[in-house]
Amino acid sequence: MTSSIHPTVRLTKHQRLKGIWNKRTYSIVKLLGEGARGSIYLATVGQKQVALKISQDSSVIAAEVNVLKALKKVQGMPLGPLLLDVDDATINHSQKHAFYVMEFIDGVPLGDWIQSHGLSWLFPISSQLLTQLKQLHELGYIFGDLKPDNILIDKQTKRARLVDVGGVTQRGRAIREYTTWFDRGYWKMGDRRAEPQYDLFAYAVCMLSMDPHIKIHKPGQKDIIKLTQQATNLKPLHSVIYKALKGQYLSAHDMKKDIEQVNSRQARVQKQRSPKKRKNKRTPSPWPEVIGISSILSIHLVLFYFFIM
Amino acid sequence: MKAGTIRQILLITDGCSNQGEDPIQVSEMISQKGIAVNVIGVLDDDQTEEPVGLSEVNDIAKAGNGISRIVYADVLSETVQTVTRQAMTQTIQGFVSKELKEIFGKETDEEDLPPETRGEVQRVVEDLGESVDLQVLILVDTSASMQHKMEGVKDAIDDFILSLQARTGNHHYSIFQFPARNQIVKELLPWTNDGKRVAKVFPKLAAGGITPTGAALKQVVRSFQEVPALEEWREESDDIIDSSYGSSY
Ligand SMILES: Nc1ncnc2c1ncn2[C@@H]1O[C@H](COP(=O)(O)OP(=O)(O)OP(=O)(O)O)[C@@H](O)[C@H]1O
Repeated sequence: MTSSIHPTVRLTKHQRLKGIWNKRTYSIVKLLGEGARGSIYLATVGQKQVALKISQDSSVIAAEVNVLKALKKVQGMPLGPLLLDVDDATINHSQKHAFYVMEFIDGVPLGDWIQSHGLSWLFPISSQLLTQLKQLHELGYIFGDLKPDNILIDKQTKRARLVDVGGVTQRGRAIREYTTWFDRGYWKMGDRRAEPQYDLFAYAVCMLSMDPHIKIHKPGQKDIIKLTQQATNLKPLHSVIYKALKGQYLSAHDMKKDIEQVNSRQARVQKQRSPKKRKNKRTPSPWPEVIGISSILSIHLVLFYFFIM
Repeated sequence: MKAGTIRQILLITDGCSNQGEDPIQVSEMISQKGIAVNVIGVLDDDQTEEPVGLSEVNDIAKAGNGISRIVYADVLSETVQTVTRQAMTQTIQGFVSKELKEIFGKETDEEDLPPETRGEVQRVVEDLGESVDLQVLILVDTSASMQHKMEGVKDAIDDFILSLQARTGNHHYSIFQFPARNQIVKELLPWTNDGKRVAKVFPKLAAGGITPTGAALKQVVRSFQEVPALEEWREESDDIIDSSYGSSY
């Protein structure tokens, strides 16, 4: 029985880790992050880069491995990083620690990506994520700890990937791990029981936090609906965000459909408003740039139009 | 498969005891009854390092087979969850590893099992953690120096109840303060599983001067006998989880 205060395991660059059971050797490159439940390192095995999670608390490793194994059963688009190895290693000739190895996702967290590439990326990213969430939910799991830091945009494929499965919870149980600002319980908008609406609430807050007017981490603000009104750059998405915050989307698919509808409506309007601009503009992504700073004006006009109706 | 009951005391304090019995000894005694003692030490915002008095926090939890954390008031909510969950898992693991030894022989420790088997064990531990009945007695230090931290404590307890309610298993909680006027401990909320009752309790909190931690612990432990709708409390039994579970393993 351990009552360890800190589950982190310190490893140094070039340190080698040899698995006791599967005998594979990993070479540590650098620390990727340290959480409440362990540390993640970038490591190499042969020429291949991998992410290695190690913890003093072997039950953390066992629990996350169980989740990653369950997610592996889905065909097609991967949900979460692929699990590559599970083992124990003796560190510094003394302590034995459990670790697991997964695919390294060379990506940029959602917040950084949006900041450098523009809010319009929220459309393709949301579609991808909500598709993944839908699959996850259909498997009987809820992601739980959904937040911008756990959404990485792969630099190569430019597609969204979910990392950190520490919060993944079987549907109907109590959410295992969450982050205050993305938890509907904190905002008094619902309980902490794992159901699709829990993730969709968290994703709505993720979207909100992409608006530069929103400081989600400020303590004391308690009304998320009021807060949403300040997210003026996200105006076209407000109706979707409200619905998700209120738990009115029963499935990720419904939310995805609504977001796509907003996107195509915006695209249509933009087409009508600036036919010239459209001609010489060739966006590589199939999603038109709609809520970039340049088009804010047109969005306001559209909204005005809708309200008059 | 029938899961049993897990009993915990959660002590929230900001300093060392200065009166009466040795809390570490009392805590050890309590743990022998199958009740874990968890302790959260709350730092002042301007405290940059752990004051000497707070080291007692870790010692009490250690003696009480529980978990301890020393934190600032603003992360109290998450800490209460983590501490409770970890202590619960630890208790269940202790039970499961006893079972494992019976199945695999004396020498088996969970860590010696191959990762595959460990995954299975983890699943069992999690299933139990979700479904066992949980009884948490919250003991709040209301001495003068805690006064300005009460808002944080209230929020943390509120939030904690929300997490308790999300579980599949039953739960009961009660709240005590110490010290109180003319007595060492005072019951603020008797055992309940009603989440709405916390709000009404807290305005009543008043702060006193001394910190008789040991004596307070000793007194509150008796109230585990008053948890409603449970089989008779057996003084001699220290089974934490119904042993009938073992047969269905
Ligand atoms: N497979 C992976 N590939 C690349 N980066 C990863 C991978 N898994 C996690 N990361 C990154 O490692 C960092 C730390 O991960 P992790 O989520 O375990 O810790 P945390 O989020 O800091 O804290 P906590 O464990 O409390 O959630 C995160 O920034 C995450 O983006």
